[in-house]
Amino acid sequence: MDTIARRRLLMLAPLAVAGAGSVVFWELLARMQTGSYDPHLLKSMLVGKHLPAFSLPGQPPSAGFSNTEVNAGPLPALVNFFASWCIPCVEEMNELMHLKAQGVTIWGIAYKDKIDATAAFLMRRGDPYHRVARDADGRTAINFGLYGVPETYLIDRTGTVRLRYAGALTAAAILPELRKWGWT
Amino acid sequence: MGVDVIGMGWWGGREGQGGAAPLDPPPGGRPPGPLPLRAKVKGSKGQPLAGVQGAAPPGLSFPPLRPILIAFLLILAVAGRARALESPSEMLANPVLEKRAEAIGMQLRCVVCQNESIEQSNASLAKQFRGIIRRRVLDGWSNKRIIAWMVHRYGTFVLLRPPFDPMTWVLWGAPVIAVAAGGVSIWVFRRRGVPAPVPLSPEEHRALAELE
Amino acid sequence: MIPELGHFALALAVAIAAAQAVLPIIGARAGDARLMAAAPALALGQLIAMIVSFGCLIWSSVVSDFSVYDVAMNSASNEPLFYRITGVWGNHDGSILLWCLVLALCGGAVALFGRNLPSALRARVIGALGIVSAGFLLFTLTASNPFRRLWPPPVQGAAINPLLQDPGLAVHPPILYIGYVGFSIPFAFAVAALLEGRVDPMWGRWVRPWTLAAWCFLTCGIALGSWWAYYELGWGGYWFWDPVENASLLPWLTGTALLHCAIVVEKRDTLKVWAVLLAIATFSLSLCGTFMVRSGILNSVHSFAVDPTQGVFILTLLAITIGGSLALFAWRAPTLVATGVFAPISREAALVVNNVLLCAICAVVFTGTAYPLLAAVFHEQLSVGPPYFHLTVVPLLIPLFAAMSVGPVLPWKRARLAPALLRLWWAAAAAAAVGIAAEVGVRNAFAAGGFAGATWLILGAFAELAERTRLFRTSAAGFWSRLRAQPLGVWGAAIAHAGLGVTVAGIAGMALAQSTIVAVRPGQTIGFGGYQWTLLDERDVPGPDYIAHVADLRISRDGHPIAVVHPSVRTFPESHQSVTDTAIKTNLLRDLYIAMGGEQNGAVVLRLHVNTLAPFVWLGALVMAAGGALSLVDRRLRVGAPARRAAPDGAPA
Repeated sequence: MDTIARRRLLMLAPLAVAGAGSVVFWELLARMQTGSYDPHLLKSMLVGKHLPAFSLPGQPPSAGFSNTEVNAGPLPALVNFFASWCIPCVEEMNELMHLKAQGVTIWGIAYKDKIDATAAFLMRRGDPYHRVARDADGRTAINFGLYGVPETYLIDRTGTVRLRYAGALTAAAILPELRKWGWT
Repeated sequence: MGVDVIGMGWWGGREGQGGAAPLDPPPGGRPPGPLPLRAKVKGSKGQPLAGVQGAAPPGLSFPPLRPILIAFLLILAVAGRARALESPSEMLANPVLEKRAEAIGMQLRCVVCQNESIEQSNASLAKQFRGIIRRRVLDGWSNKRIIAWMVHRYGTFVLLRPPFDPMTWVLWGAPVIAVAAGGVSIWVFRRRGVPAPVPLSPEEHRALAELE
Repeated sequence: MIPELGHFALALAVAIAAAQAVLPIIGARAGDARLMAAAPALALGQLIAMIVSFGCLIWSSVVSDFSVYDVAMNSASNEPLFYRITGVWGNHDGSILLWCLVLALCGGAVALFGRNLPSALRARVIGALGIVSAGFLLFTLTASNPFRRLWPPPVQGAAINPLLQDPGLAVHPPILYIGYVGFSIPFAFAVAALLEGRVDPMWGRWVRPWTLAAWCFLTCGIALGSWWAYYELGWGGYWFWDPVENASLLPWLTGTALLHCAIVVEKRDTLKVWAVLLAIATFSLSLCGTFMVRSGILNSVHSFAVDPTQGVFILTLLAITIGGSLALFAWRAPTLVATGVFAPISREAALVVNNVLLCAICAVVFTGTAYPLLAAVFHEQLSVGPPYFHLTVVPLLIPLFAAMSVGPVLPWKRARLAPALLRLWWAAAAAAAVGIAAEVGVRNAFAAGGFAGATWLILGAFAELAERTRLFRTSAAGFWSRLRAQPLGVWGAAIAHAGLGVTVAGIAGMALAQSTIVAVRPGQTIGFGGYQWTLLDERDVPGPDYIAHVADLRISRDGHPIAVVHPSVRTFPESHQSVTDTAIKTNLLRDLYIAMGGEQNGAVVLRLHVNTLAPFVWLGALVMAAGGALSLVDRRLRVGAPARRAAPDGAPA
């Protein structure tokens, strides 16, 4: 009797493996549907750390800025990478203007963009930024671990990066996070 | 099943899908964006992002009715690659150093691509990494240090050969586990194959006694 | 009108498949001969309906009926007829219809060629196929109908993807699908055996030819895909451990294991439960490969999120098919009595080793492919790339290759290893010599090992034949008469094993491939890889719907011109796509492979490859499939020989 029972158990193993596989699958699909899992998103290595050291020239008329200036400025703050040639950046501009109106400090970094293209872009779409710097060769972006534009980094009161938002930012998504990290 | 679900950009399409690539600033005045050196068109996967990619087909006056699931042909998604250096000027003059740089690049995943190493990708970010790696090699950095530099910024995700840690014990142990499981089942099977003689029941003992 | 006919035929096929799924199985259970006899008729009816349906879709595409959505989206009236036809399966809906057609073909094949099967077994096999058919046909009809109308019809269609405008690609999906779906027959046999509660040597004999046929097609399909990637994508490689490639490799591995396992079932009446499990696993992996990886459910979050019905439907179907058969397995397999004992050194033991190693490789490839998903459940991100697969698969291949040559020279039941190995000493010596020579010659351990392995496999493959024909130990005449007396199956096995050796040689050769990237101006000559490459001219050539930028390149060796080749880049202005058209000059021992890039300061950027032994990679696969086909021919002739009496008229082909 015992051996038969054991055999039965053994024969159940393939079903169990397939079942486990489908649980994993369903779990991921469910998370995709709720948005808590997005295979497109890359985890940021910067979260929980301070900003990498950088010092970038400004996009005239704005002066450039460095990581120390961001940390010395009003906190929490956002650092936003954008480019005039990027479509989602256009989409998020209204949202950024909205955030600016609410008093959120946003530091803009133009990623691999020409000076006049950026200027025209800001002229047409509005300038939501506290200051705008230029990362012409994209080296600073790599130090941030950037893998696409736009990307937005949330810096809390202690100067620690708390969140990286990849893709077009929405006020609805970022405001609760800002409040969570001490923004009033 | 498929690693390819991870590591695509969030712009709704994939790198090099016939349109402007996400991290590719377009060169001045040549719409609709740079043509990749080599075709990297992998079929009509993904959803076209309005205005950027997958412009409405000519002659069709309707918007796409629904996202078109990809044709599930093997080849459509065979994203293959040898080396993607876009021009000879990218290579280092010293063949030994170039070989080293290539070996490093082959170990690192292009973060905006699907399962491609930065040595194989056409993405501009990958191209930039190729340049950085080559510069570091010239500067005399060790392979380990260059890879650590990448991991520091982009995480272990960029390692095409995942590190051996608690998270990957099962992964790296897979060959051993699989062979061991096979061995154990053979052993079990062999034991079962020779069934132990069933002890005689009292009735059988009686029958046997009668026979004798 | 024609699309409506196709739509109607599709609906009819669903109805017939539903009957096919229910009636024969009830009949087999109740012992009702009439219900059982309905099985082949239903299977053939479904096949005819599917042929009509698919024919209608092809017709719509040929006459460019753009009121059919899929035709409008995937073909154009100015395309050549050939691509208007192949465009039918170049898209999601059409390829699912093709998939269903192949499944119907499998049912029809069992109905036609399975006349020698006991009627209850045949009814159950056809019934099991009907269950699968019914599910996927219902899916096609309701969620992925290829006959959807579009109104008003556009003036012109959207044309097939330029990359798909290739003859190799056009025939690839049907071949691959026959391979994938062909494994539905062993699957149905497994389900039938479980329902019947009986697996015997005849079961192994019946399953084997079907498995072999599917395996041959899958082998060709994988090789064709790999070759297409090589010459069309212009990346110069042949295997990239891409999830989609891995998905096709998984059923191939378990299918190969099943092929060998069925031999043991047939000859030794053992490993039966294992064979049933392998049959279920192979088709399950085929299903996962086709639908999970390719349907874009995972690849594109958008498609799933926007149209979840399709995704949920398919996943439910997969769960029913795979989960149902495995549940049946768990329920019924323990009742299959294990019989047969075998010695640790015997041919059957070697086949078990083969099975363990093949399945271990399958498990490793599966783990590597699925691991990032598993990690994602635990909120971790990681990548598993080629370095992982090389590090884990190669160590498993070495004992597999070793066993591949030893196994066939071992006798059944009980053998001794030493005499068997002695019979192979010449193969081992030759392999060692080749390996050492290669290492000395090219200083590449991987290539040297590969060449040694290839030699061992190719020579070892013919060791059994040499043994049977007493090569060198008897007169030439005796040798020839023995050679001709060998059954085709022995030849087939030897050729298939040697084919793998050829592929291994190709892979080893590719490890020695050289490539470079150069920028050349017209008139300039580059020396690379022992050849001189001269750019004669570059020009723009307009095509029907593209502009080709063509380079004329002369390749010479030691001043003697070998060839003038014309690599090009085709730009399709309408779709903003460009496709490389690589130029390959081969002499079967090496490929001179040229892919064209862009321009750089007026110079043409070219990627030059000298790919040693590249053609062997695919040639080997063809040889493997040919070996399989040869065995298939043999089995037809010899069927009915052993044990349980089979009907006289021949085995399934």
